[in-house]
Amino acid sequence: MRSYLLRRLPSALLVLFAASFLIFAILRLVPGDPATSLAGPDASPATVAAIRDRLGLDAPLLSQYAHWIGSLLTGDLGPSYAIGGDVSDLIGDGLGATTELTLAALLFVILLGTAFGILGATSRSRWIRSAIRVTTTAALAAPPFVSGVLLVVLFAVVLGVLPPGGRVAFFDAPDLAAQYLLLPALCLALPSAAVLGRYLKDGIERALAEDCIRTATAAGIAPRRLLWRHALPGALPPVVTLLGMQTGHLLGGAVLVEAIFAWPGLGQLAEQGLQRRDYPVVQDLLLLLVAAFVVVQLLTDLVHAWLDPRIRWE
Amino acid sequence: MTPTPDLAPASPEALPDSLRKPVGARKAVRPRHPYRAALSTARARTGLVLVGVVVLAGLLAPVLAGHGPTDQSGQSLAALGTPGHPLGTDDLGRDLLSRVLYGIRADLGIIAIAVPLGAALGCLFALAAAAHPVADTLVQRVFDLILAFPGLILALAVTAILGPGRLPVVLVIALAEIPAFGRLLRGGILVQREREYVTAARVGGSSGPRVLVRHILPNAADPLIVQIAVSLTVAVFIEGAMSFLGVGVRPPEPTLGSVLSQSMPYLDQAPHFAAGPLITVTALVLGLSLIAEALNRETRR
Amino acid sequence: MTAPDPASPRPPRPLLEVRGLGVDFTGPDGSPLHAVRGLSFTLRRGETLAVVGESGSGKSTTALALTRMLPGTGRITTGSVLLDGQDLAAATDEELRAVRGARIGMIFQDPMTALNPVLSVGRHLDEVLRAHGERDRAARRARAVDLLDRVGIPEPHRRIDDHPHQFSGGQRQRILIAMALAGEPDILLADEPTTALDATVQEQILTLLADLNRETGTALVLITHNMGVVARSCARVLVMYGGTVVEDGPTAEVLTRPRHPYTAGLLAAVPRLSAPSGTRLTGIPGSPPDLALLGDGCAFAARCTLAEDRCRTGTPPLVELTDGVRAACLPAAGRTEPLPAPPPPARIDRPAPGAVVLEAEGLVKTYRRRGVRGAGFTALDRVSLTLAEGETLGIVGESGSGKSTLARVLAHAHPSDGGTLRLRGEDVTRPSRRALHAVRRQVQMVFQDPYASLNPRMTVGQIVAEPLIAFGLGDRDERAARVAELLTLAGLDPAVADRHPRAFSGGQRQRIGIARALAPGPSVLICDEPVSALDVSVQAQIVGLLTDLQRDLGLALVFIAHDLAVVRQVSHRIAVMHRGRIVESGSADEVCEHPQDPYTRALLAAAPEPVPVQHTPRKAEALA
Repeated sequence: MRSYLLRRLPSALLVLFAASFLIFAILRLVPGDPATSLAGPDASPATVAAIRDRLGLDAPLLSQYAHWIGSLLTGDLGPSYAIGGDVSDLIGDGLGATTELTLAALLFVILLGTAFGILGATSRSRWIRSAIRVTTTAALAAPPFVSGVLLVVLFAVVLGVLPPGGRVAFFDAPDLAAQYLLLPALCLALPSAAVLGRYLKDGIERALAEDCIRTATAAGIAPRRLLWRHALPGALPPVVTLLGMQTGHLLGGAVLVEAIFAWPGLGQLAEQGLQRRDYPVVQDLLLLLVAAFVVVQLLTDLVHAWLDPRIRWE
Repeated sequence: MTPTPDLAPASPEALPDSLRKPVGARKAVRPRHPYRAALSTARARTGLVLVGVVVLAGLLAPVLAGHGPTDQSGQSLAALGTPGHPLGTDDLGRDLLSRVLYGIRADLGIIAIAVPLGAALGCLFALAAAAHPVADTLVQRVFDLILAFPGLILALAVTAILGPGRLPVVLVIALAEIPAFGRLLRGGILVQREREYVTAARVGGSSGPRVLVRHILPNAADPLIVQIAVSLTVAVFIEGAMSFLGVGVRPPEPTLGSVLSQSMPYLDQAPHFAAGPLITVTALVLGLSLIAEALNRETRR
Repeated sequence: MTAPDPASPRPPRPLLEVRGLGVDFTGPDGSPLHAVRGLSFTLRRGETLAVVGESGSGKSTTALALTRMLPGTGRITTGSVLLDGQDLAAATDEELRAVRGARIGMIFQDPMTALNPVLSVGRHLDEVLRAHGERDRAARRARAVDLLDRVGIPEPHRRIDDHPHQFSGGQRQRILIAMALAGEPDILLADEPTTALDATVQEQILTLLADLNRETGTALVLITHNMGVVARSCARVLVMYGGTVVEDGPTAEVLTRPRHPYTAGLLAAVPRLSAPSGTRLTGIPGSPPDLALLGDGCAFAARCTLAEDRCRTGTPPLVELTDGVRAACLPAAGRTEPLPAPPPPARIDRPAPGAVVLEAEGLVKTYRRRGVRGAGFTALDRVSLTLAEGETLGIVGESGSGKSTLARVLAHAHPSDGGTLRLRGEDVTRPSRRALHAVRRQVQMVFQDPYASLNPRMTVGQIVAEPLIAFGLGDRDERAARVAELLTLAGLDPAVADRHPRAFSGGQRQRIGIARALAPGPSVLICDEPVSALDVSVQAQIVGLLTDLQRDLGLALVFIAHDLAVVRQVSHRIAVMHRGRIVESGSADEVCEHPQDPYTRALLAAAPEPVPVQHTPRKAEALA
């Protein structure tokens, strides 16, 4: 297992390094003097100077890069010159909100996806299987901005049972926070849950058709045990990989869902950063999100290897 | 001895086939082309009709729309069925039907450039990867790098460089499609290349390029057809999402995503504002998904 | 209905009695396919029964139908399966589960896929023991170790927690047998248990099954396509064709005095290790039956040389002809004498080999293993051989012996890592592009898998014309004429040129592959297991075609196979390969009659011959 980690780690680090360099290059790709173009046409010389100072634009590129990475590693990102406040605090707040949203969505993905997959593959009721097929097709076909609008119209406007947007910190008032969290998490989770459900259903159906299941059936093992102890372990590893990929998509999708539901997370912060041209904040955020994604992929690969002995011993 | 399946698809052949006598297959079964079979299923037909109606409406926008997409009339947020504004008007008094129709047109324009561009680049990368192991490693890392920017994070990164507008939308869609097409084709080529019929073609004297074009690619390209349908839906997703984030096509030009995102603040007082783009996007994406699913089912057989 | 066996007293009731069993599948167009029709047989306690047949005979379907494990659209439509009087065809799922594993244990064909890759071997056995009511975990583990020990897995204590991919194919089949034995069944149902295994491993597995039958008294039903396995393992044999039993009787009787023309044809088609080089195999004309097209009458009538008009209209009943021998053949019922002995096998008239065309010296091919540094896997280890005009060189070996690699190196499909290759005296080891083109006009190849070696996207005409285009031979019209000529040469109707390969049976596809190989007019044909994927009756046709082509075109043939008997008959000379090396070579008859290398002797000993059991002592003497 450790050797597997050692094998996977270099390529993950390589991707991370390349991504950080690309993100670092973003500002330097903007034509003209970055500080002036960032500050905008109406900026005072003081602002331009502040930006120049914050970015260390007078230093050589390599040391700028080193300084940037260093500041990320220490967590001391300095003050934001456009949004206001300490960047580390801004990101910290946003990170909490986004993590909360992503985790809640992940929970929905796992619960709904597993239910869709297992029931879709094994339910004897034709009705349930059709219902799941229709639901997953619909969930897959609805972009989050469509399903988000529909959810708001239905639950907030027509029924009036849930708030249309905003956030309450979870530990302040858990029940209220849950009400605010429900719609965005569901909206974020639906497409991934449908993908997972489909994939799991196909995987179970394929696993149940394998020769080894025929062997076990011929040995007199009961159908329920066949599903849980024989078919599922074989069907699970690729599903875990998919789940890892979907977690990445949740991170990416959160940016959009936060915009729809006015959820004050990293996505909203990024949007603000882009609008106010506070690109350093955007850079920090991008690298953070990419790093999170790469780490999730790595963890996924490890879990996959742990579940599938063939990889472990390769 | 290689196992002979006992009850695999029955051999469509039972005429005597003695050593000396020439024999022939039972019927002139010209296998139906899988794509044509897939597209004639009920599922695919529904999809084709949905997509066809939306595309046609977009193409005919100048004929069908009663107003320019940015013309403002006096009345803002007019209700459904207002004379001259069958879908009502938006917050600035612009005719919603016209905005939706021109929005489709704008989306189609973006998608028609972005998806083929992404597909072509992805396929080029795949061909390069198939050519040499070093190129393969390089291409694989490029794909990994693009994939490390999941979904809209890529959109944020690209707009950080270029600022909002039509070009970044096209680029983001194209970039997102590159690894999808590239990985599929690369995988297909690698699998097909090991097949015995390819060895047979090489031993039969066919040159390298001929083996690639005549033997490998036709068999490796199957999943790409499905991917095109999937990519079209992804493109609609990305366009809409970027509009929602305010980094898409610049206002006042309408796109499906921007009209929908503009309706958000008015959902409680004028829900019909959202209806037009909502129905159009849903029809388009649902139609494309149905086609993709039908193709997928048929080609997987 | 049951046949009394004079050797043992008739028991009051057979252990298993199948009456008029019918199984249908739904065809692609929705019409029913009758895979098994009116099948009846009995099995007594402790008996060994072989069910033999070719593809489409319904033998595997029968095996699955007995415990109602039919895949997909399969369903039992008629008849009953009585196990000690209990009808399994009408039993509930619960009752069936109590039978599976506990009363009827099953073993399947492919040990590579029949075990669950994510479960340890111990878990496999544990699950079965648990399903049969053993509650105590430690007891289950102890019993699992016992079972592994019983089926001959060395050091079962140490290996019990290993996963399937850590075992060889033969060992996996042993583990499957252990699973089937775990519930102490009355019947062991083995569906082609050795088909995926090498001959020497097959021999060990068959010995194990015979020992188990003798020691535990478990009845054995062995489903196979291999007449040699039948002779080796079972006292009674059931011959199936077109979904029904055509002949049933004691093995010795059926093998020596077949009553049904199909049985006789099948026996004649099996290559005998004892037949000298140059013997022509007698095939059965035609292809195995298409279930969708079977109508009234005897399923074999279309291929039967003795068929009469009545055979094509009435379904022949299975009637007892003599002591314990039943046959379903209308003319046979009136025949008091056994079938006339098949004509003595003809000799292949072939001219003596001419000058040497192909010469290999010290060929080396190493495959580097992924992730493993240092020495790779040596597929070819200094292989040298010569091949003369009009000569057939047979190459035999088991899987992994390097014989397929050799074929590919000889045909320039893979480059060699060392050694030299000469074509008519000219060094062609590392040819330039132009020289390679010239070599390929001379050296062509026929592949093992008639399904994988034809491009599914191209028509037969395009496939055969491809080398003509590649070598720039003729214009469009000339190519079309040449394609027609080549198809005729390969025994196909030229009108098939515009169809796709999928419309053809395995034997016909192999003919397409041969026509393609002949297209550039080669002088050397490398045949890599050309008949391994084919039924025995069709194998004889393809082998006959190749030898005729050799005679008519003066081809030099390299004929690769794992079946020593086929190789002996078609080859002038034989080379035996083992672990990448040629361990023995010489004239075909010499190698088979007086083997020098221990490996050749083991290979000869392991080859099962379709001769009644008195044949087996040869094995002991060969090993001695």
